[in-house]
Amino acid sequence: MSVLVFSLIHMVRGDPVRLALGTRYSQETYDALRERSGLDLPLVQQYLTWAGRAVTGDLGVSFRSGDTVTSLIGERLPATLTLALAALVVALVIALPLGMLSALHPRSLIDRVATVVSQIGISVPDFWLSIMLILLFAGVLGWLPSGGYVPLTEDPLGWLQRLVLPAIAVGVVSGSVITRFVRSSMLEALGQDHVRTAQAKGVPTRQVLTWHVLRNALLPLVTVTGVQLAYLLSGVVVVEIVFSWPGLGQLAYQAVRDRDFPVLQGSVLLFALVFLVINLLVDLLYSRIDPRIARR
Amino acid sequence: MRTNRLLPLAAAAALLLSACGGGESVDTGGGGGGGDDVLIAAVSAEPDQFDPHVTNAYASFQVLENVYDTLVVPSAEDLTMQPSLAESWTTSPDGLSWTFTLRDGVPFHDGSEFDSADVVYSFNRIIDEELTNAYRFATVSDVTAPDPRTVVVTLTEPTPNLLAQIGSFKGMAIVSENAAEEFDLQSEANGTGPFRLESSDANATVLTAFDEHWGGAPSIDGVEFRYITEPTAALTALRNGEIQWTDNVPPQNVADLEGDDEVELGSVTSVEYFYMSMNYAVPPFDNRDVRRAIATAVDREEVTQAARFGAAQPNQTAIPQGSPWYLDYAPFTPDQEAARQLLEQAGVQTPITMGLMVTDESPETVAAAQVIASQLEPIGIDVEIQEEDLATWLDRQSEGEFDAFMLSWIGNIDPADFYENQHLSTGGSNYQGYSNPQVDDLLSRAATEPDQAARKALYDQAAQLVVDDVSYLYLYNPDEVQAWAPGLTGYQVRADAAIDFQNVELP
Repeated sequence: MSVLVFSLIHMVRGDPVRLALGTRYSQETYDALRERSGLDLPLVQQYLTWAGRAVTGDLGVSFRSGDTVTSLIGERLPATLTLALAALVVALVIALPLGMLSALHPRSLIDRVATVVSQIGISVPDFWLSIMLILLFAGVLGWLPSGGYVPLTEDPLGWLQRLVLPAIAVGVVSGSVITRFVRSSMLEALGQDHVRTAQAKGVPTRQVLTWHVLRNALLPLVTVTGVQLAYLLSGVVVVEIVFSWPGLGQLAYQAVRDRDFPVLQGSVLLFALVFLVINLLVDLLYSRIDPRIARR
Repeated sequence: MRTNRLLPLAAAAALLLSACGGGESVDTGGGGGGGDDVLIAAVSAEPDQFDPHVTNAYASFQVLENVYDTLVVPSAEDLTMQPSLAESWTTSPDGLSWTFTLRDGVPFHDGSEFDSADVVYSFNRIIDEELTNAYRFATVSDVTAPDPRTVVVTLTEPTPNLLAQIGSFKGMAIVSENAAEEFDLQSEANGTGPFRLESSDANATVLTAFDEHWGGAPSIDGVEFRYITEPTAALTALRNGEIQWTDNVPPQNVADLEGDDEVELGSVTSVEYFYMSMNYAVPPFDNRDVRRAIATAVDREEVTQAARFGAAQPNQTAIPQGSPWYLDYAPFTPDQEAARQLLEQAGVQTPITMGLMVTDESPETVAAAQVIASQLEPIGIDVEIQEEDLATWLDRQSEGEFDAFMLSWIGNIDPADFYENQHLSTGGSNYQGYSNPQVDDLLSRAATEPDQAARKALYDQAAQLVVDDVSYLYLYNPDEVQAWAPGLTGYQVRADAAIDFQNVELP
């Protein structure tokens, strides 16, 4: 996979040296910088050097800042984790009640409201939503700061205040996606024979819902939540930019624009790793939720 | 039931963990940390690094302007070079040797004293290591220090604009001798400027006042640069009092902000210029009449309105009004009939198609291109707007893969900066392929002409030819617009867009 990452990135048009120097420079300066960045070496050799170091955890040095890629990623990781998890909480707080209610009362008023709300949540551009949140809560009402990030350890209140708006902006979209899954998987579980049997046996509704319906509905829900989390962890570029949130999305985006190959390779590798780990966790969760999977 | 609780619990635990994990960050003064009198300034991008001799990023220079000094510095009024670390200078009669007398009693941030060895080290570092601005020393053969207060620069040919070459911006900063060995200049600084570089991370760059500064201590305790890319967020933060200064003011907001009591606005016509250029290697754009037809069809007032909402000065040459080098020359009057006749005269069969390459890095070129497309359509030129990211744009430009392109040049002060590199046959940025022996001759004579009036006359002649031949189709000089909290004083918007917070006082 690292070969794929490496070659894809190098196939993209654009010369990092030219970008770093701008429009006016001497040929000697160009050659010198190219040599310092190691870009004068054959591509295969560049890859082997990079891969050899990457195995030991050394992801190289950014062309632009001279910082190590691991320190750049390490610096932004807390902000990304914070936002991803907070957004996931927002998403689940929206999705679980809304999805369950509409599954329990299909075609009712609440179901229709939920459908419309989740449709809006999916279609609203996150860019627009973010700006509206800033204009309303930071501008008109003046309740919250317009953006930025402070570590929790330094200023817990400031941390929370700055987290709320971006978490909502990201969470609304994810929540809307998850709502639909909650609704459809609940509906499917509700229609199954064992649920009817349980109801016929006179099992209390509450118990039917938690034991017989929710547990069966959880499988697809966990899958989609896992995908959403992986997506959130790989950075949400637009929201990060609007809220000046120093996350991985911004780092990767800027690396693409700068053709900062080491940073880009490091980020993509990390994102791939995140997806792998989360998929693994989801699979492990499956067997907890449904013991039949573990036995197979 | 247990499985139900698993997810939210895990999420909450991880949230807490991640929040506590951010130990590396330094004080960014989220809720007002640092000194009491800290100016919080919002810039639109994060500096890439702080080595003044290496970086090429405007975001870095916004910070470095306040940290380092140069031998001479452009005045805020008309950008003529004034003494800074050099108190005075003389030129030998043959113009081949410049002697600088250095200021006495100037301390570096680490306490060491500034002298001629620092200048020699800084200049030689740029030259010997072929760093970003090495081209500015093209005519320099030697830099020596006969005594601690004197630096002699020896040249291979007279270089009347030497002061502009070594003082235009902080890319030519004086660092302390052996700074590159003693400091990690990419993240640390040891300058002589009014502020020290305290720290920088993904949140903010923090400067603290350097009270021993040779020009006197700054009136504020420090500056915190925050990176706010989205202008709406920056302006909201300014109105809220979260920040006190920003240059992230898009032209479309200027009219609104002018009547806003919560925001003070400063604006000056900048030395930046926007232009379009056509590829001389691609017919029919090799034909002078075709280029002149296009220059005649373009209505610069309209372009300026659309791209800048009027916050710019239309200009048919490069240098803005207000500069001592300004040339009042505007031969083209928008006239579509005349443009059509020129095309006919050139024997061109219309309609023709012209790819116009623009970049999202400079959104106003996209808007300007749309207006130009609508102005050229009636004369039979179909403009196909090609929007690229800057990396691809630069690639295509240097490989000559374009019919025409648009962009701007920033930070030029001396006329040589405006014309040589772009319009000399051998100019490094002459991507359009312009070649006029007369222009070459005028520009090379001007480059060594010591008399300022005679030099200006030569540049004026060259500029007229460049405009007449449409090597560049000049469009406008944008206004540099910045906004700050009402009551903030001691700050001046500069035509070269340098950000100098030395004399700022907070409300």
